[in-house]
Amino acid sequence: MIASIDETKCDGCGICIEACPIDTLRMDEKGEKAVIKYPDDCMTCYACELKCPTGAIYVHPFKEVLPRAITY
Amino acid sequence: MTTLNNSTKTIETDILIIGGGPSGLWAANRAKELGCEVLVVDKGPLDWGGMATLSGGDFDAVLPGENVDDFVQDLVYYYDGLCDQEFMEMVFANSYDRLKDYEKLGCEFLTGPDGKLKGVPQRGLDHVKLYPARVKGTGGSDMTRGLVKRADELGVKRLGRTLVTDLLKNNGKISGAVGFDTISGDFYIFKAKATILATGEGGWKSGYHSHTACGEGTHMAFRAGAELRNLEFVRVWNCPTQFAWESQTTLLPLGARFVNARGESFMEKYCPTIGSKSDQHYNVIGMAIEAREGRGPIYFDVSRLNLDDSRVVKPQSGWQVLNYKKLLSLGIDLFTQKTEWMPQLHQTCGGLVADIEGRTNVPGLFVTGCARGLEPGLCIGGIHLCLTAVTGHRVGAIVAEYAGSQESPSIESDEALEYKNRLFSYLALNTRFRFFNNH
Repeated sequence: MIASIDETKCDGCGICIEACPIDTLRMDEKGEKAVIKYPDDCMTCYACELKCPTGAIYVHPFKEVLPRAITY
Repeated sequence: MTTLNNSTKTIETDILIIGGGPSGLWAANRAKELGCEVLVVDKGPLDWGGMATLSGGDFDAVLPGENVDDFVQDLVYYYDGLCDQEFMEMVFANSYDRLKDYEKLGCEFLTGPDGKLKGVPQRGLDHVKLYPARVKGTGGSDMTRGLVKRADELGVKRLGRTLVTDLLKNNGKISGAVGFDTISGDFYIFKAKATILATGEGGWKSGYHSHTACGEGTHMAFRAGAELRNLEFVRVWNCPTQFAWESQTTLLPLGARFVNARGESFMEKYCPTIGSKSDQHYNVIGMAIEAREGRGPIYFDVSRLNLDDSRVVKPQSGWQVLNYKKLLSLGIDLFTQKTEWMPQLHQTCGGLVADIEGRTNVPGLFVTGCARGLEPGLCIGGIHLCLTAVTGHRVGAIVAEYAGSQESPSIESDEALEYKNRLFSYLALNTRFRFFNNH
């Protein structure tokens, strides 16, 4: 799941927002930086991180902490 | 009623294709080649190409010299007799041509030292094989890039980030659809002589525990009177508990297996003939029995993996290699350790009823790819990329011929307006939930 966008590196180009297949990322209210708006939508596809020209995005390979249906 | 300053746009085309994944793009390119005006509308990013983008790019094909009937017989056995034989015969009969088309679009498949395509047998079957991408990691995105490039060369019109919500009907025929731009909120009316539904969910993305395919295509077709089938069947999938991994359909035939907490390979007990190479539904049953009897959790064990070419299974490019490197940095290596895996609900087998050429019971509405209700249990590695290509190409030609015989449709403006009002009525609710405020 997407973990962070480094504000100091993000130049607000919007490429990550265009790349996200779902709806995870948006621009902030001033329209200057990308923000993680709907983290639960993230499907860990890495599209944003792969396309970010400034290396500002870090996607963690773990999808989420999953509930355990079975107790061993 | 609405607080949204949105406009209404009307676009007329010969053929409207809902869904810009592989089957939608194949249909679009074929229909455009045959002289029709084509518009593809997708709710995702313009060029992303649906779920194929994240797939491995594996493709099932019947090579020259092989027999289509042998492949169909494999599936009759594999589906416990539920195989739609006429349909699968058509898919397999055209599979090699589409594989060659993918090569022309710039995709490369794995070859052996003799230069011939190198296949991986599937599910212990005698004949069915998948042909992996030459470099593991970007096979799916290479396919998408090729299809999108071809669509642009041909002049297929495409619209991204636009969600189609309802089909329009006039005199009993589908006359187009309505939808909205998910970013600007603009409302769209699409007028078309024929509409192709390509909203199915290929086999990959739910492996990431998230999904964009939420069934609106099937639902809108149902509301327009389309007959559905197989909705009582769901497909399951096995995946790591913590992270995404593509794909087990190559690893299992090469010696990977599921083991329980005691390290026992249990599938030989439940499926003595082929063990873990069995269909994933059988693997899930085995996993469940083991866990209930106190022998969980279940691990994926690659210690017996027999590799003469690690490029087949080890990610080399794209998101897959990034994923692999990150996991290594966390001390997780799928190729040297046992990793905990679990079953997961994958997707529905349900969809529209259609003849083998994609005609539904509703005039003017056609279906391609996995939006069609497929056989319960259809999940051999590489099958979805094969059948999305074959059916897209085939349906594109059928619909081009149909559209050529149709008059330009008229739209009942009241109907479109009613859909618009219903769609935007939620915005009049007194809520703090704000739409579109960041644009």
